Amino acid sequence: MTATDHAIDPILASVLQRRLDAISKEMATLLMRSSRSPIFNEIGDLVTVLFDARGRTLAQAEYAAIIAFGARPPLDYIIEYFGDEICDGDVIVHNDVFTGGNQNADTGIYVPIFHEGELVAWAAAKGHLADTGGMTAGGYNPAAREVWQESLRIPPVKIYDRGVLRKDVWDLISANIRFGFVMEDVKAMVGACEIGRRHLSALLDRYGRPTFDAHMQYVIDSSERQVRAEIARWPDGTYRGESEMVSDGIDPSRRYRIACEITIAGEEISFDFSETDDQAPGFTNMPPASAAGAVRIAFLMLVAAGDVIIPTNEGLFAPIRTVFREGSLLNPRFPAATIFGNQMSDEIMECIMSALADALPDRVTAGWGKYVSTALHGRDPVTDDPYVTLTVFQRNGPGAMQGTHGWDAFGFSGTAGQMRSTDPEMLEITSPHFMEYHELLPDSAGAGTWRGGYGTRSAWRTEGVGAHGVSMGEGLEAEGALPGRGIFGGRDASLSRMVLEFPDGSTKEWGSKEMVSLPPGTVIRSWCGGGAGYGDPLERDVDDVVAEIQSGLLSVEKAREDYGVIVAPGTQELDERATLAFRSGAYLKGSK
Amino acid sequence: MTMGARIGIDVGGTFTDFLLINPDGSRLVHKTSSIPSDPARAVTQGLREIAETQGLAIEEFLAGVDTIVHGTTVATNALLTRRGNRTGLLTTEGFRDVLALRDGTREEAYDNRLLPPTPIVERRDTLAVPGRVTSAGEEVTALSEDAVRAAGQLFHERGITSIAISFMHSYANEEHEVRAEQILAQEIPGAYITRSSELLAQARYYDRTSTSVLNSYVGPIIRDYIGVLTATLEEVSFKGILLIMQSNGGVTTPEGLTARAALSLLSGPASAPTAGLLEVAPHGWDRCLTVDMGGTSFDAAIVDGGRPLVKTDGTIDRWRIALPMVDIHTIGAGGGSIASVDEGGMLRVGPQSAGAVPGPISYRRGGIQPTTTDADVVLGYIAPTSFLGGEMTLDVDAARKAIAQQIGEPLGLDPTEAAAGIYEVVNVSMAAGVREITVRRGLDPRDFPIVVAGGAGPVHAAAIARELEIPLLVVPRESSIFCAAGMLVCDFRHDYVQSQQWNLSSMQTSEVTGIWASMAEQGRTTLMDEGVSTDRISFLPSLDMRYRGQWFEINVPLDESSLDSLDIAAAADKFHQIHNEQFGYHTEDTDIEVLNVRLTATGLVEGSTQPSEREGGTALDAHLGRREIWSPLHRRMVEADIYSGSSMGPGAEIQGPAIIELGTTSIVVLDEYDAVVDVSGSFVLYLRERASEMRERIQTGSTPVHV
Repeated sequence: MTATDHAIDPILASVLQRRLDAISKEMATLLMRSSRSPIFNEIGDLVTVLFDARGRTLAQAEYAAIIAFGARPPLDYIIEYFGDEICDGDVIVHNDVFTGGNQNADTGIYVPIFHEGELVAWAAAKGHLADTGGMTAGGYNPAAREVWQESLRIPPVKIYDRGVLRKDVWDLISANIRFGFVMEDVKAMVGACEIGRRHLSALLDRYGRPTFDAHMQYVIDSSERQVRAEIARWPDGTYRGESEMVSDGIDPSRRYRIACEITIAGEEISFDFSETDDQAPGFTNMPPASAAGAVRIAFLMLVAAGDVIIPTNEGLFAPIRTVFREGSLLNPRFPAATIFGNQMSDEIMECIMSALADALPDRVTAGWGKYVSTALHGRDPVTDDPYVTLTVFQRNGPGAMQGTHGWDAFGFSGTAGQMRSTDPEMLEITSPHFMEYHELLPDSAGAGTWRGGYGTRSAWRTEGVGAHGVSMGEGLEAEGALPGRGIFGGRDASLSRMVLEFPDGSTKEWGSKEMVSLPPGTVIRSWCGGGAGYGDPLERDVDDVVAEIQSGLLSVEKAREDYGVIVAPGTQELDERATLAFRSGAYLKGSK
Repeated sequence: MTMGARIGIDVGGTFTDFLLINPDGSRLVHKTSSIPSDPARAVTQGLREIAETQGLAIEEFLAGVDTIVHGTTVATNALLTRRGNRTGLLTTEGFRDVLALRDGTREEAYDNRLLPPTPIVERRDTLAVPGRVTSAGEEVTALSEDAVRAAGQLFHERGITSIAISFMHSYANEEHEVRAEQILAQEIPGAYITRSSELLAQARYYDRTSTSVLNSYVGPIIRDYIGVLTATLEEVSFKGILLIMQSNGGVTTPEGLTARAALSLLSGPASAPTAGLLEVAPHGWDRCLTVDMGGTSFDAAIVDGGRPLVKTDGTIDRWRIALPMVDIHTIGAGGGSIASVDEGGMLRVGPQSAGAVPGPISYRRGGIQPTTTDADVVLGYIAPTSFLGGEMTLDVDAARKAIAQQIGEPLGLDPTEAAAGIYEVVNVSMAAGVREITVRRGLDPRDFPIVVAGGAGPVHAAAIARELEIPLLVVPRESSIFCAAGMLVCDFRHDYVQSQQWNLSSMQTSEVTGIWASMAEQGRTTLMDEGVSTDRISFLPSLDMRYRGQWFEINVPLDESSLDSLDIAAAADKFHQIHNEQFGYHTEDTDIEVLNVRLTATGLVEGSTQPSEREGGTALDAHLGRREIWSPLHRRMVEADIYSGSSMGPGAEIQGPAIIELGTTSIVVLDEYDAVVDVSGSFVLYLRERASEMRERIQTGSTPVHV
């Protein structure tokens, strides 16, 4: 019996969809709580997924969105690669970006699920491992020119074969990874998949495979119907957007253009990035799995803005087509270095949002403050333990949208607000860093009827021994980056800056993609820009502006300049008459 | 002291419920309307009404009462409606936005329209002062007393009298906070000040700060409320002990709660697990799940080993509250949850709710979207005429019509099948909620009987139990006094915590026992002030541990004997074991770190709540007739017997499918279940296929009669 001629009970479909959703969440909960690396358990840079036998997504619990959508492409390759050799009890590991991976550090564990001797589904856990070998701990190194320098490549390999640990393979991988706890995290991922396998097997026992398959097909079809109905409401047409990446980690003055042509035709939408520049010589290349993930994030934000909730599964993305030209920044040829790729999610977001501003004005966001943060590694001077710290507390602001200010300190578009920021006390307890300050950055939000989100200002001192840091980001003032653009009269986003203050008193502007050595006592100062505004700032509610002045986030000068809101001299109280006069004067000027 | 009567009082939004337990075990349940503007008045009003029923003046009546235990939502309501006191926050310079930044996440990944939670402290009222210590407690920058004083003056000028002080790493060195508190107390006469290191000496700056701010925000409200309540009770010559329910599942005195006001947030349902334990204890269980399904939400909690399980990472209104509190998991599914079919053809139920207004269609209050309750009515689970004791007739036809049009037609189902779909989908959601709280602690839900409360609970409980393969569930006869009954058996409870950074294998056990000793001393003093005698005081020491490199701690409870000498190897074994249970693995080759030293001081309350034997009829006496109800097993409507719950006495037993009408709700006994009234008068449902095993355990107070 095939899936299509099996009688469908729509209620059972809803019930199964909820059950699978709950299973994927349970897997993620266990993984986060049992893992060692703060990148997993404190930050949540991971995803857990259930797939059907063919590798189609059934349900997923996404913490880091960019990884979430990067878990699926490798499974196509794994299924093809192992063919008939996929057995009950196998556990397969994969990270390679040239066989479907999105980033070498984002490593996946894939467990086939069998029922009555047949392959019926897969459980997967994927997350950012603290190290996967290569020339630098943590993998981020602008000096890398090819993949082997960044990571041990793991095209799929079985670490368990029919339930038996392949100790030799395990030890081979372990021997190529710097930190012992990484393999403990791999164990936690295997454990999460085992939980998924157990629960899914129980469901199959209860309903039988034909019923399960037929109803999951219905669930997938229903997400597809829903998303098609949604796209059908969007105006047909072809729309173009572009953005710019500054510096490739080798030449800070290099500029790369990312360009997108979006075509909405009836119920389908395509994103064609063929016009994007050729690949870079360094690590600023984005594997297509990662680029497709970034497109999906932007797409889901547009859908969510219409108050539409669609269960995440294969059907949700069926009407989307993505094109990334081989040899371009978004589909680099082997053996390019690519570890920076996930970071380029911001550029893709900017392309898409700017392209669709006129078509979907009530759904797009204005330009975002682009993400910049650092990966720091070295040894703890007291315990001599190695550490890798991702300073994800550095947060930029997103662009505003119609009716809503940007969410302050939202951070990286690629993780869509799901990545936790390290608590300052925990940062100091678990790594040799001392936080001088970490606050919202005043005057950083682009003005508008709705303002962008505020960015952050932070400074921390590192006491690590043999420490190095790699910056990973975009949008630095010192490199002449272009700010995220304001829309419909909103002002642009603000740019970011990072300065190193070395113990000998010298200072240095830290570039956006640059590795530096950090002698103990070096202070890193960071100003992360806010997002751009939406709509004419003179239309913004006056009381809202005054409250922001009183909060200390908006200066009196900027309030006057951007919003035409004037306070009585020496106070933070509104001067109503002056404001009215200024605002109407500005209108007159504007209408000439 | 001779034993007098005890009263549990649960102040809810609409009603204030009273449960009087006399020394002979007899009970009286009373209900009076709440007075939101003056909740204390409803308390004395209700007491007066109870006295009248006994032909006594309130003073005479209270002379025979020695304990009143009181649960209040005063603080919770003040927070949710943002009617707490304007609060000022003093932070370490450089960390003014510790609250606004929260943990850096947004609740909805892709929803750029979502707004941040409304602040409890405005940024303008957050003042940052120089002064810094390291995570080891060493001073790096001296506290600027001038800056603290200036901040105090500014707060004073702004009329702010609620203050929270939270400095970086104050759990490791509280000196700066202590000094700042002294200065602020001088600058702001009568201020309510929360010092974070005193409230919660635990690492994680956002968690500690948010908790402290919540405490100050509701502190004066609780202080004033308790002042009014005690004065009102004094007026009517109450000479006994007044105890207040805390969110950690224990009780405390009014003075104790005034300093730790945040402990009254979410204290309302905190007695539910203990109340649940009371229901299953006669049958030999020391563990249970409690579920409470009302109009808009579904709450689930666990009791294991005779204790309600607590968590320290809770949130209220999207703000972190890190004090230990009973782990109550809430999902947006209730009688008012709205059912719809999306454009893809999938049935959804909730999280949107029709609330009380317009409410379900069948309530005739203007609702136009079908809800869970409407489905329950169509399925025959709720009798249209027996609802609310016959005071309101439900509109079955309108409910059926709406379900037919909005759910049945798009899905190609008849109205009954569509209603059954709503019932099933909402039950699966609730079962998933229950699973989540058990599995994240490594527990198997099948090992726990379910105790059911709330208006919609008994209608859905058997189906939830079926989904989770749980063989036994208990529905108390009067679920409205469920929480009040629990309060009367909750012990005094005080929790203490001190963050450390130790390696388990190399730490000095004398340091740990030293910390425990001072915590125990504090606990003993507090409990004795509360009137607890020494022989009723016990301590539960525990350590929060993790493998080195992990970021989340596991709380490992230790024997009371650890207070004198800690067996490190045994503590490590226990940690490995719990880790293995929760996460499926443990590892011997990684160091174990100790993050927090904890102690819970418990004072046993006196007295028992074993009810006296109830009188009542058999199933035959209670039989009202038959009507059709939906059978999820047979997937069609089947004839079922209908019984009047109030006519069923202990030992009365019935077979599913059946309905037991309770006036305010009805118990659905599905096909696979039988039911029997137990010794306390509660209804116990059990899986028929495990009848012999279950009936062995169920105490009915009489010899079981097998049918």
